[in-house]
Amino acid sequence: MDDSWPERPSDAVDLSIPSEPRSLTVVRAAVERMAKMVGFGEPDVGQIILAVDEALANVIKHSYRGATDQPIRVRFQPTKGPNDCGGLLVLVRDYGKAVDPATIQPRNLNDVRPGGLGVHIIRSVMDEAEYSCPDSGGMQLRMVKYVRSEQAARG
Amino acid sequence: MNSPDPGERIQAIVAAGEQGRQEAVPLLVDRLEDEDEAVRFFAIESLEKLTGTSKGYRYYDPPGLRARAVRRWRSWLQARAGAATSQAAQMN
Repeated sequence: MDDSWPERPSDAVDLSIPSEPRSLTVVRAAVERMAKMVGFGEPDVGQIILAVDEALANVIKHSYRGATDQPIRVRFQPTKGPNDCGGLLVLVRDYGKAVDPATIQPRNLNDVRPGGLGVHIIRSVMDEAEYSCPDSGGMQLRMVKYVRSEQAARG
Repeated sequence: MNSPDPGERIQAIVAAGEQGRQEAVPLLVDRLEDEDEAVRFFAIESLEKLTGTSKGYRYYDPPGLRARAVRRWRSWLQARAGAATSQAAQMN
C-alpha cells in the first residue's frame, strides 16, 4: 500500500486503523503500554497519550474531513536519545489531503477561537515533532519524546 | 480474538485484560503466536495484567525465542488446569 512507510524494526509495533473514534481506544492502549515499557512515568504517559490523540484527531478532522472509513497507520517504536536515555518514537501516517508542512503552526494562544490547539499540544509535549509529505500522498507526522534522566534514575 | 482482522483481535485482547477476564488467558496465550506483532504486543500486555508474569516472552524476539516462551506458557496452563482439577476433586 505504501512504499514510503519505513521498514519496521523488530521492536516497533505498527497499527493499521480506520479513521473512526473507536480506533483511538486501541491506540491509547498501545501508547500507554509502550511508553511505560520505555521508562516513562506519569504525568509523561498521560501527556504522550494526549499528543497522539491530538495527532489522530487532526488526521480525522483535517486530512479526512471527518470520514470514518479511511486508513491511518501508526507506529510505536522504542528509541534512544541523547545521553543514551530511552525514548518513544511515534509515526502517524494518513493518505488524505496533504498540506505544506510549513503552514502547520501552533495556534496563537491569545487567539480566543475554540479548537486548533492540537499542534500546540503536540509541540509542547513531544521533544521532536515533524510533519512531512511522502511522495505517495497524504501526510506523516514523526514525534519523539525522551525519558528525562531523573525519570530514568527513578526506574 | 480469532477474527481475521488484526484490529478486532486487538480490541478483544485489550478488553480481556482491562476486564480481568481470567477465562481468556488460554486464548491470549494462543495470540502470542500471532503473525501480527501488534497482536502479540497486546496479548502479552494483557497476559501480564491478568497473571502478573510474562514468562520471559517478548513480542519482538526472534520466532525461536518466542516459541520457547510460548511453551513455558502452555506448560503453565497445563499445570494450572491440573491443579484446578485436583482442587475440584477434593471438594467433591
